[in-house]
Amino acid sequence: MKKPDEKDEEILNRISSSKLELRNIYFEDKCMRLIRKQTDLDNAYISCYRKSIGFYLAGILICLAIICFSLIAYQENIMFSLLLQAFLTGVICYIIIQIRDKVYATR
Amino acid sequence: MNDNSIDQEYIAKVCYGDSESFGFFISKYKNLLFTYAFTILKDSQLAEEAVQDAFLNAFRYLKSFKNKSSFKTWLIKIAINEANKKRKQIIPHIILSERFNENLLDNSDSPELNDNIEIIQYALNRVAKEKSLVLRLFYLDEYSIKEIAGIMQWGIPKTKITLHRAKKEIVKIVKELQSKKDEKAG
Repeated sequence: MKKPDEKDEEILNRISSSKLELRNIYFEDKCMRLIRKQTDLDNAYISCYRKSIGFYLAGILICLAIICFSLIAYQENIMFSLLLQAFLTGVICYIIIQIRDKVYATR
Repeated sequence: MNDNSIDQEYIAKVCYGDSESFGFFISKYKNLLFTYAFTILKDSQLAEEAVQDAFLNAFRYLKSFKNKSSFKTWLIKIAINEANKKRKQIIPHIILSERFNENLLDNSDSPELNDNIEIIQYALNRVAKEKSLVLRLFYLDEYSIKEIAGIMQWGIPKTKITLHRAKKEIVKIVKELQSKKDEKAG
C-alpha cells in the first residue's frame, strides 16, 4: 500500500511525460521558408545600404567638384560663386536622390 | 559532446551565414515549444503560430543571444512571450476553453498515450496557465526554482508559492478524475 505522499509524487512525476507533439508535417518546411525570406530581406537591405552609400559619395564628390570649380572660376565675385555652389549642390543632390529612387523602384 | 555545446556549434554556423543550419533547432525544439505555447493558448493552431513566430524571432535576434542562459531556455522564454502576446490579441477565454476539449482529443490520438497521460494532460489544462507552465517547467524540463523564476520573470518566493499551490491543485484534480474513472469502470 502506497503512502499518500508517494501517490502524490507518482502523480506529479507523470507530468514529465506530458510533452505534446506538433503534428503538422509541413511545419518545419513552412518555418524554413520564412527563415529564407528573412535572410533574403536582410541581404537586400545590406545591398541597398551599399548602393545608397555609393550614390551619396558620388553626390558629395560632384558637389566638391562644383565648389572647387566655382571658387577657381569666379574668384572675383565670391557672392555669385557661393550662390552658384549652393544652387548647383542642391540641384545635383535632388537629381541623385531621384535617380536612386527610380533605380530602387524598378528592382 | 553535450547538448549545449552542440547548440553552440549550430548557433555559430547560423551567425556565420548558414541560415539552413537553423533547421536543426526547429527540428529539435518544436515539440517542446509547442507544449509551452499550448499550455498558454490551449489551441493547437494558435500554439503552432506562436511557435512559428518564436522561431522567426529567435533567428532574427540570434546574434544578440549572450549565453546568460542555455539556448533552450532562451527559446522557451521567446515562445512563452509570443504565446502571451497572441493570447492578449485574440479571442476571449471562454472560447479558448471550449476549443480545448477538441484539441485534447486530437493530441491524445497518438498510440503512445495511455489513460494516465490523458488524465494528467487534462488536469494540466484545468489549472491556471501560470501554474500549468510552472509545473511543466519543473517536471518536464527539470528547471530549478531560480531558473523558473527567471523564465517567468517572477521573484523566487512567488515561484515557490505558485509551484506549491499548483502541485496541490493538480494532485486534487487527478485524484477526482481517477475516482470518477474508477466509478465508471466499477
